[in-house]
Amino acid sequence: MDISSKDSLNCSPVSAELHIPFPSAHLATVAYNSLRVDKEPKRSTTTKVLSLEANILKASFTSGDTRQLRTAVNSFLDLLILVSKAIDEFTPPDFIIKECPLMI
Amino acid sequence: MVVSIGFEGSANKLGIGIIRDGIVLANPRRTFITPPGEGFKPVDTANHHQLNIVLLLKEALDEAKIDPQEIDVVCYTKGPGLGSPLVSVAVFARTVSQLWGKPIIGVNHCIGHIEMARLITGAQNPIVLYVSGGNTQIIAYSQKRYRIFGETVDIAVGNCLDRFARLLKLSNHPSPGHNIEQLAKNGKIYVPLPYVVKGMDMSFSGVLTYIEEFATTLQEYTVEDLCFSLQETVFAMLVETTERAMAHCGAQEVLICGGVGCNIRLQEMMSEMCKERGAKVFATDERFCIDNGAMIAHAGAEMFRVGVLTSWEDTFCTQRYRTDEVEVKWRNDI
Repeated sequence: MDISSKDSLNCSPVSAELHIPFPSAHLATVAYNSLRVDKEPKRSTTTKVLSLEANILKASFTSGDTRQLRTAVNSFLDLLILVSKAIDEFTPPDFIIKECPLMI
Repeated sequence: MVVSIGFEGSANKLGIGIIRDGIVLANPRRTFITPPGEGFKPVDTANHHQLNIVLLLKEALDEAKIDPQEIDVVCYTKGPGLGSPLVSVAVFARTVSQLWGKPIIGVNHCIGHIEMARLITGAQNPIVLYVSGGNTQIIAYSQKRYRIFGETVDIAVGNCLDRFARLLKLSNHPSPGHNIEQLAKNGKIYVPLPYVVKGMDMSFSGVLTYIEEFATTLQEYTVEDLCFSLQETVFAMLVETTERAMAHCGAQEVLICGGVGCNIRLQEMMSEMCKERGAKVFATDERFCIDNGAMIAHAGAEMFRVGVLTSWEDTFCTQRYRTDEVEVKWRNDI
């Protein structure tokens, strides 16, 4: 019996979109910059696209496999939580994001 | 006066170090220790680092009595190492770099070990034996590169020791290698094991397979005998290849770095060989042999001092990052 042909959960592509609001556009930009650098692991069929809309960080995932999609979203959220903890604990009171000359 | 902070998490040790002008102000560390018989998996290790990094950073800043605004540069381990743990630490480093408005530098983990060991010991131009759970390389500096003279062709010597410890279900606290070292002190019988040196390179997977069979049957040998025999064999292989490199380069100094460098028996065997050649052995203690943040802070500070910066797009991590890929612009000797 060919199980995969009976797997109704794998009509590709599956996708997920996350919208994460931040207290300010500056902080959303910090999160966006921290999270946009790493590519998805080579073996994954999932692609991730990040974008910014004012103070909202948007993450859009597309995958050929539901379980891989779950892993990608979970990993992303773990890292997002880490970024938010860093922001909570280490943002200086007078914080304004600086123009970093090495940032494209 | 440069103040640098370094974030290290390429394996199961999470370390944050703060250095000002070559003086270590703080270097706290947390190790992810698994139950006996288990190795550390990337996802669990990444979780451990994510859970501990905020408190560890507070600890480092407190110990150093430094305000983040005094920091000049944020350094992190770019690679080599395990993917998800590396990325966890890099994401955090990128965040604080932006919050504090400081430049960021990606550091090669192996070079971190070498530069820290050079700083602490004062060794001028040694043959470097870099031995850990993830790496086994014999390195000599020449014309702005740390050249790899010889290395393992399969697994690292520390990986061989760690996996053997797993089979024996030794405790992983404080590290499996440490516990093998203690048991080996009571070994009485030397079991002949495969000794595999190929020119300048070494192989450890064969001796591991061979001794794994002994561990399951034991025969007339005790666990202490096997630990003793394994150390004597693999360390002799390291001493032989190091000596060959010394002969090639006419070197009079050996610098041992990396977690396996903590092992006193290895240091003893290396000293015996060096004494015969009139050479000196340099090694650090477990604060700096074992993965730590200060080594990343120091190597990063050297790079910063000569203007080597990392562009934002280049602050990614890479699991494979050869020691000789980095141009050592901060050294002026030939």
